[in-house]
Amino acid sequence: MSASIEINRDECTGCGTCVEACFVDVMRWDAAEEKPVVAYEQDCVWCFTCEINCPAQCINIIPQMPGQQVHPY
Amino acid sequence: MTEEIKDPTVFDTDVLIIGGGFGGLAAAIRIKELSPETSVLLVDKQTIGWGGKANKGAGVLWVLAPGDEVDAFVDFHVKNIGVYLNDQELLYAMAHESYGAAQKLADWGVRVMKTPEGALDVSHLPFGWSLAAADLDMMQPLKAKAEKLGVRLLNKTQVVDVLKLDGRITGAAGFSLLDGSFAAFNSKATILANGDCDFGVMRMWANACGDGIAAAYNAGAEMRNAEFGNFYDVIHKGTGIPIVFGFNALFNAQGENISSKYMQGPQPDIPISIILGMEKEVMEGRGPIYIDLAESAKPSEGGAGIFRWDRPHVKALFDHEFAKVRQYGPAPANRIEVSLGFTGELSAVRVDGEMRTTLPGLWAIGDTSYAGSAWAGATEAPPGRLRGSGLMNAMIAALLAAPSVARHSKETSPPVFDDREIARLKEKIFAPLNRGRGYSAAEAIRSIQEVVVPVKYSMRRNKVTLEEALSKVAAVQERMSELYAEDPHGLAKCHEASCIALCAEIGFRAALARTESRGWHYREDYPQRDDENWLRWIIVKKIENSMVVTTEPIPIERYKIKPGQTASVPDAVVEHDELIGVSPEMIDWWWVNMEKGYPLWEPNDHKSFVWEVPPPVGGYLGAIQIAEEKMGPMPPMKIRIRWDDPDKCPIPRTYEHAIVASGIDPDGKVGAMILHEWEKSPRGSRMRSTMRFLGPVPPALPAIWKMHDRAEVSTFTKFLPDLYRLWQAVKDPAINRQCSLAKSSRQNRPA
Repeated sequence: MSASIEINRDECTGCGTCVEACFVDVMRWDAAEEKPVVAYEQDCVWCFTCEINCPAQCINIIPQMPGQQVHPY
Repeated sequence: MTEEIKDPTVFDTDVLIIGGGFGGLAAAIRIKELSPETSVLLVDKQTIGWGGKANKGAGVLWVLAPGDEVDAFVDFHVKNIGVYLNDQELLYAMAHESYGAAQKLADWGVRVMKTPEGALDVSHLPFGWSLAAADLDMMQPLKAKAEKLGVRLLNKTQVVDVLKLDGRITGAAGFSLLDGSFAAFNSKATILANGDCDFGVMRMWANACGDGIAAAYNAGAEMRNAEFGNFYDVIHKGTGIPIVFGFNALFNAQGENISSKYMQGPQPDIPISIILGMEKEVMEGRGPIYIDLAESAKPSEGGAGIFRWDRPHVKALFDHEFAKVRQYGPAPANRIEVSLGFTGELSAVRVDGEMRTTLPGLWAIGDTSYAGSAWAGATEAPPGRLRGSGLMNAMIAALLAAPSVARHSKETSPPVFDDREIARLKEKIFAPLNRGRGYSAAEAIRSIQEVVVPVKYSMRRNKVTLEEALSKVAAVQERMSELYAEDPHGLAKCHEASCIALCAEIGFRAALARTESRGWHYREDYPQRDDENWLRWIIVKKIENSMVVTTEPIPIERYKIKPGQTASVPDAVVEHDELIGVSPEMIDWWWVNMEKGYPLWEPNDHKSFVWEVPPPVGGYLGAIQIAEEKMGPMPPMKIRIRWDDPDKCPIPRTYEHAIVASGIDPDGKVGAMILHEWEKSPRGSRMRSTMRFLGPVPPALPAIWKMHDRAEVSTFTKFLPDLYRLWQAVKDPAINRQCSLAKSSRQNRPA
């Protein structure tokens, strides 16, 4: 389970909500640019919390489905 | 008030709470309410107000609401969910506290759904309990409340171990995910609130890796009920998304309904039999398994039920997920291939009624100790078997823990800081950063997932498969000393991998010890429940460096509900409002002419009606109807009802007119009976209905039936006088049946 994360940095206002919202430490804060960076994309579980809560609506998460990959049988 | 670590190494606090999710925040708030002078530090590996599991589910809270019977609920739970492994005293406490706990949450600022009159807006479920609901922004008001009360918050700090000095827990140690700095905590009381172990499998709860469970175990705390950490749900194979209540409409590749094949009667939640059945179908070549959403309203109702409340954040999350599936997922279909989704939910830290672990100074709440507290018995932390009890358990556990934590921190002097222990832990915690490339945490976690996910290791278990699973876990554990990290994020993964492997071992060892089948634990080499030998809890504990498994008898003699007792669900009685304009004769007429207006009687719930045996001319006895109706949130079901003689019914009655409706199975065996009785009142009729449940009828549903019955009878005033009048034109008694149900008439009737 993983995802591709697109952030439109031109539209991003640098509010930091996505960094706070990420519960798996994928998003980090770029202090120099004052913008978020996708630091650990491989750990994204496409909960969509960052995307839903982004005031500028400048995040697009492209989920890799299925979300469970180990075979149960 | 959020404190980002600069470079301190030691935090002093009266109370340290590890895990800033729902339970951790609730505990912090409650401790401050009880003892404002107590200093409380809440630390989380991610961001308090966003992290944890609570805001990534359906936002429902299990409650016992007015109309739900606590005794009936406990009876049902112990017999059908906990299967006698419950701590019944704590189960009663949970049931009694639940409604007030949901209200307290609202007092703290969480948007809990309420009626216009200010009561909780609950959904009564068919099995005798209810769901309240909160919106998914619940963490923000809790965070604001905690900050207002002076709770200090520390984000992005992963706690790895608790500190122990002279047998007492004196704090904890961890590191910052941001800059890798070492963080040590000096506390009088420490609460583990950092969740259960989901083995990194379930997307939305991916960081529930058993951090707190591992810390407690490594410090020597006892684990209990660890064999119940093996939850599966039905998932959409193409997306991996759980289909809640999807277990009700499953079909194999040949089109055979396997839900009815492997389940008997309605179930409160996914039963173990359907997991084993799905695997059996696939292994015997009748897979894949499909769910047919068009075939049954039930799965969609399970989902749709959560949208009945006005909760914008719930709606936003689900709408968003659906939209993404449409955009990037498989094409939509009514017939969807499903699979089994392993979630785990190992929550084994043993606690008492005040959430104290077996180590002085250490408490564990929420999912960290859901199974370990034993109130729920032979089941894992939710979503298993009692939906909505994850949030409620976290809330009540916080409320139960807070007084003893506050008291303890007042009575205890600050601990001495053990420099040597701190130095040892520091070296251990940072070791993976100092290694060259070796074993990756991702590979270790994946290897453990390959052991815990298969049904043969986690569900259809036997001695051979469990020993095989343990040897596979051991192979991963042997390589733990090779784990390497390149940065603090990777360091966190290494510790999570270690916790996941440890939790897997604890769960498998407990499962190997329980040589019987019970609740959500199934051993194919011991398929029967064994009350003679196994009314015992399995305790797992670290002694020196070994994992030691022992058992402990359940104090069943102290508990109210014991195996072998027959069910004794109290009668459900409904005193109806006066039926204005409805005469007793009209009601007599109705019972033998129901096919003439069945849908009118309860327009929402009544679906179809047919007489299997019509009432005899002039009488009623022995008539059998097949009524298809819906009761509350349950899907429509066909019920077989026979009219029986009130004079032979053991339910006492006082009114002049009466009839007995007996619910019967295909062999004519009575499962439950309803006595309807009525008589003339000043403006029409007064009426009472009493339902008696016979024998072990698990889905007793008194509360749901009462609502349903009240809705039916109150509708008499709307249609019965008109229907009765219209039918007076038909004089043929074989078509327009006539029957008096007054006591005097029955006594005069020839036998």
